[in-house]
Amino acid sequence: MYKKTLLVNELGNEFYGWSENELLPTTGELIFNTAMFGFVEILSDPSYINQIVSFTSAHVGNYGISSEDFESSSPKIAAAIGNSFTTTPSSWRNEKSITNWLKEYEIPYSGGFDVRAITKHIRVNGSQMFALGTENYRDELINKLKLAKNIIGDDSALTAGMLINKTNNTQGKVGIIDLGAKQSIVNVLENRNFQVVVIKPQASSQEIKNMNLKGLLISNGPGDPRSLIGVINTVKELIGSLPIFGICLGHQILGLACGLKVEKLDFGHHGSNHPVKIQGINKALITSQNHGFAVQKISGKVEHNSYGQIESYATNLNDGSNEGISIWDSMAYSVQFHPESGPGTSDGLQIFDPFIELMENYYAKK
Amino acid sequence: MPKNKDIKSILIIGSGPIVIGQACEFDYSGSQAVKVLKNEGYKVILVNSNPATIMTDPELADATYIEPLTFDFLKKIIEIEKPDALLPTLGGQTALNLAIQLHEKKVLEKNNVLMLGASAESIEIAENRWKFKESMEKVGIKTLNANYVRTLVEGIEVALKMEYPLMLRPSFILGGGGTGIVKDETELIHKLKEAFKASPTQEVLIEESVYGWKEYELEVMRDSDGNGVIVCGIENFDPMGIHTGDSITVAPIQTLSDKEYQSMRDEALLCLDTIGIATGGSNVQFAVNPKNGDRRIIEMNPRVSRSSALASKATGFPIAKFAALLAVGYSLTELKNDITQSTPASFEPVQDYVVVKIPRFDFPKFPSTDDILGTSMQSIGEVMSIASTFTESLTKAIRSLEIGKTGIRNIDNRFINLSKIHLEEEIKTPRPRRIFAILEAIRRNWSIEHISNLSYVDPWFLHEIEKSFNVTPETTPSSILKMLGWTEDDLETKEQKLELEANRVYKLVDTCSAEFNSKTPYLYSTSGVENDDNATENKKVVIIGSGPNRIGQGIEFDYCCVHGVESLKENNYEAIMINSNPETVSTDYDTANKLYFEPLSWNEVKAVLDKEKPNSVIIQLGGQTPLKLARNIVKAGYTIAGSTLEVIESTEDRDLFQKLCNTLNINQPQSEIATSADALSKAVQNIGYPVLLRPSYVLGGRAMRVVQNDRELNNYLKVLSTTDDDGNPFNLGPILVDEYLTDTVEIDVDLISDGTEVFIAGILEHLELAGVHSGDSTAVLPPFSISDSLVEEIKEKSTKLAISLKVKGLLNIQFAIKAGVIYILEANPRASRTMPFVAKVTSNQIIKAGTLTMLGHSIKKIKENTNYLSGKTKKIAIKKAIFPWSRFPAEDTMLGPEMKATGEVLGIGKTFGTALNKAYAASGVEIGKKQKGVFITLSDDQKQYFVETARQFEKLGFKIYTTEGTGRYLNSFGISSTIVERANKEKPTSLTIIEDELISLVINTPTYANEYSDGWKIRRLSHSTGVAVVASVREAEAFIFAFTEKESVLNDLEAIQNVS
Repeated sequence: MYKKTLLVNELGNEFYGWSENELLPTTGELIFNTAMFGFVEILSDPSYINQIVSFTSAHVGNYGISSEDFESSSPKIAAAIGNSFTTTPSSWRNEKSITNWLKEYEIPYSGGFDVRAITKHIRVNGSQMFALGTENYRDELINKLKLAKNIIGDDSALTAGMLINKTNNTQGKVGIIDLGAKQSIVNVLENRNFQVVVIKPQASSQEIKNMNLKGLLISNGPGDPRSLIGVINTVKELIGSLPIFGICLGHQILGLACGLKVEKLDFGHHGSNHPVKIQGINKALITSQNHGFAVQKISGKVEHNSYGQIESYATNLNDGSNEGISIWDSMAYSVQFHPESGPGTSDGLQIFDPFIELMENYYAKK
Repeated sequence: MPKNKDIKSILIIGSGPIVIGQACEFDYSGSQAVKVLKNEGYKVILVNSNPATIMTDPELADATYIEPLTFDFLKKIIEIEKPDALLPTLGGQTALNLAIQLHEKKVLEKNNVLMLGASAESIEIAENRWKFKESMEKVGIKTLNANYVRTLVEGIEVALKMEYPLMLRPSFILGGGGTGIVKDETELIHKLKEAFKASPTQEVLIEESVYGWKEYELEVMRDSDGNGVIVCGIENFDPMGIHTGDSITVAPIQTLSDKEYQSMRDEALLCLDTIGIATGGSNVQFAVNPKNGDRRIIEMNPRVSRSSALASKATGFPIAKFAALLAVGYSLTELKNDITQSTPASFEPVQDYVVVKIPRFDFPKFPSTDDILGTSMQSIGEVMSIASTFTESLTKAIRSLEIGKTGIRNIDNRFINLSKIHLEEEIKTPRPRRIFAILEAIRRNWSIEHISNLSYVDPWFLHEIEKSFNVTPETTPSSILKMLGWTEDDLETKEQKLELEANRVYKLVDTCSAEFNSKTPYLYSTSGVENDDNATENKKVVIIGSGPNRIGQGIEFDYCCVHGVESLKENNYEAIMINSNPETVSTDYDTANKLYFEPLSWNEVKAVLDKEKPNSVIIQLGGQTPLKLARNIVKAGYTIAGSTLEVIESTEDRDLFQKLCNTLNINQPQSEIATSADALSKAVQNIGYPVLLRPSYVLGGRAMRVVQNDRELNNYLKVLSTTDDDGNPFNLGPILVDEYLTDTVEIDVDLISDGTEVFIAGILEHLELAGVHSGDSTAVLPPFSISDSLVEEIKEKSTKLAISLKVKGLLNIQFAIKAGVIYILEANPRASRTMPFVAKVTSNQIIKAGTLTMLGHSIKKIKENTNYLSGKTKKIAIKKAIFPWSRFPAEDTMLGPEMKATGEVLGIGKTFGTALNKAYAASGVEIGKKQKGVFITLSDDQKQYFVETARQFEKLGFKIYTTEGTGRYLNSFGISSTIVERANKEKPTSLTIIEDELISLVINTPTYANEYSDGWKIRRLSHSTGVAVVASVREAEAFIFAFTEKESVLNDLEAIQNVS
């Protein structure tokens, strides 16, 4: 028997879908993701914590869940909505259906939504807090929405705790400040024979300096970077002392650490098809993106008192937003999109190259 | 990189006539390219032999040559026009092959023509399977285990080292001709011979078979900066082993994970980099083992293809337009996304809907051919549908096919009644009808695993369909029902139907899943709560398109629809298009003001009309498809433009039409209607042999026969008791019996009428005698053998008929002339197949003018206010039909009352001879390339008529070959000839003289009796080797005119823009 599910916000905007299960009320920031592949990666990406993900793809879950695709050990999203969720997946790598996986972790999901209407709503009104549940919980939904603590403004940084697979350290140690890091980032570094060291966000700059790292990567993660004061300060103290590479949230942290502004985007970038222009590379990269905030646009070179020249080397071709900054004088740079993909194209992998180079040069000098 | 300013003029080669594997998608891509390059300021020179195309409209290119697509003609045109560059990647395999020839024979080099889009070297690598394989393996892309052979012995040796089944693939072919799977050595020997013949280079690749693997295609755009984007990924519902053109396909890819998709994407881009495709669109095909994901690259087409057209329509990304821009130097980052008009083109489109394409076949037209699908493409057209789920989209696509099926739940009785074993057999064997066998198995609740094992269809698709059969309308929300592919036709009560319909909303195809605002109203219906588009208050007109291409209703009608749209736009109407055919120009999102990509079944059309509330609905432009909706449209309270229902009825109803002709004093062949076998023989007796017989409910000449005597009549009764494709016996309804006029000349008249005044647009005389379907015959404009007074009489009768019918809009009339007496055969109050040809040749924009008369404009006003009817031509134009014989090797190429042609070519010249010579050349018969010989083989009753003809050939110095009977007969009139042996005897035989290129023409009057006779072999061999075959004195004498112009024809070349 189908039950009507409701998706409501505080302004009274309402969308409905259909579920064969009863859904307990859940709240989260409603965002949409336009990717047509990679739902396992999206569901398990810690950056989506506390978010209700609306999948614009017509079908979600067709090829089932394979643990090889996990970006973390479990689904991290608050809830999933979409058009049609596959209960009967097909793939030689399939371990279980998306619906069973989400049920296992008591994460509500519902299909049957007019997904385009939701996308258009978000596009026009920006991302907002929404509550999701079956219609019988209508009153609770509204109440829960009022009480909901938005992750936006939460200053407790998250740690994902990635799987460290290899101990092959022929290239040396790279530290990752884990703000909710994706497994794919670890995999890229391990594939290049680095030993990955996971660093808690609370670690002090001195502790990090003592780790004898070849380089430091500031990871992706959920939430508003502006609230992560501790991490920002740590990074401020580290800039210039070792090669630093920030990804997504890590990029925003680096931006904030060197005095740039970070602003919330209207509805963010969530998908695998964003064209990005990189300085010095003729072609545009088709990139994987998942962020609601962006570092301010800068034109030309900005001089920082202690770190040297800051420059934006990458631009989103859709809206001109800042996709990456470099402070080569201080061996630091960062990127807004996900060069490690997972999901998405391999176009961005080359963005890791300068990090490797910086580390080699730094090591050679040492 | 900005555009190349050194280039001022660009030559584009079109794809020629519509053939299987190369259809009107190339008109779509070609016209996009021509428009955009002209817009960029280039002088565009276009060569295409197909007059029924939008791309050859004189307004499009700067210099358009409707000339044969042969090396000789291309070379001459290059010498005349001296283009700076050649863009060969938009005209299918035909253009690519010609470009290679022009390169190899140094024509490009000598005339300083730069090849754009792809270099000859890269085309060579992509097209030569061996070089392709080598270069892929060098960069680590897995290809099929394969060996390349040039001889039969080599092939057998190679096969010994491989495992059967094996796949044979000849090099340099279009659409897969000559390819096939062999299961053992005997089959190998047999099929390898065919494969060698199919390959122009006599090269064949013997490959490991991946039959049953999953099949994928990626459409890639690449620019000279190295930007590469995947515009669309397509997954085949049918597995590897069935040509992708004959497969049901789905976009986006459904059953690959991100990791698998991304590594396939990487390989596709690496493949392009490796081959060195400089710029433009290409497609790359992959096979994936469903058991472990093992992947092989199958092939790469370095050009815009059939699937690029599908990908463009499926995503809204205009591949051909961009391919042209990239070829002249632009980069993707410099171009804007056409649909959003705000974001750049260097992105990968995403879809929030599912697209399903289903091919449409015409096997019943080819009765000697088994309809098992394989690696050689045999479908004639295709439909595409867009909806929110795979299942809903599949249902919409089935509805779009126009085969009387209302969706996935509408299964044929013949499957419902099948035993388990027979149903399993139907699922195992890929045939056009297999999808319905699969649906029946799901309905019977067979395990999905079992169905998938039999069919190799991925279980995901089958499970999705299964959901539809597991719900009941009573317990399922109507929006979910709709997502599961239920339609009004599946529901019992009116309330249920209304509730389902209430969920219908229209969504945009926008390339970006609504992430950005989009300005282009390219719409599809699905279930939902919010419309993406609202009707305007403008004065608006809906044009109903012609649906999937089929024999008898093809590109010509799309041409008419597009001209209708243009006319509306030029005269300040909002033009709204509904159509289901992705290959067309009419479904290009920037053709009409608004495009509804929907099935042309009444539910969907009505829903669009209810939303738009148009002032008028045009049903005269899309062939029979919209005409069949006329009654429903009127009943629903909408106005059909121009000629009323009564006009349609007066021409369709035999009694009404007979009465009308009687009152107007226009002769008709005698006719009767028979409802039983007895009545049939009585009717035949009344009229007298020969008679033309056909079932009343069948369109397009199916089961239509000319019957000469009682024996043939008895045979026909047997034919009638067989069934058509849907399992309906032909004798279901009454049988029409018509007097069959022998030795008559057929005339087609195309005209425009405003109700009081008539504009005769063209009078065409058929070269073949009556009895050959008008769509298959050679048509000459203006008439060449009938007297001026007869022409006047035809004009007068046509005018009288149009006025008394009160036709508003277009009318096509077919007449037959027998011994100076004019008979009317039929009248069609709509656009005809010949109108695009007439329009092109006379340079009167008759469809545009006709559209205005439908909307109440008078011809007088049209002449005053527009230039639509101001054309004049003094040239002679000849249309020749093109047949799909190479795809149906079991068929006789003899023509009859049932139409078999898929396309047409035009020969245009200052004389009848040059025009016919060109028409022959464009249809594959290059006169003068073979020796000056003629082979005459006649049936006894016909011999007497050809004596004078034979004498003419003799006088002209032709060497005459004959079969024994014919030779003796001619000898008795003093005409000597070389008598050849029967096909199976010692050389010279009737076949060796063709193979050895000793003859240019076969004069053969066939008999229906025996299949696979010598006559059959002669006709087939002549067709495949480019020898003309004629069956009448008229045609034979016409051939002489064409032959005598063989040297001068290349001097009679002129761009149509210069013809006044």
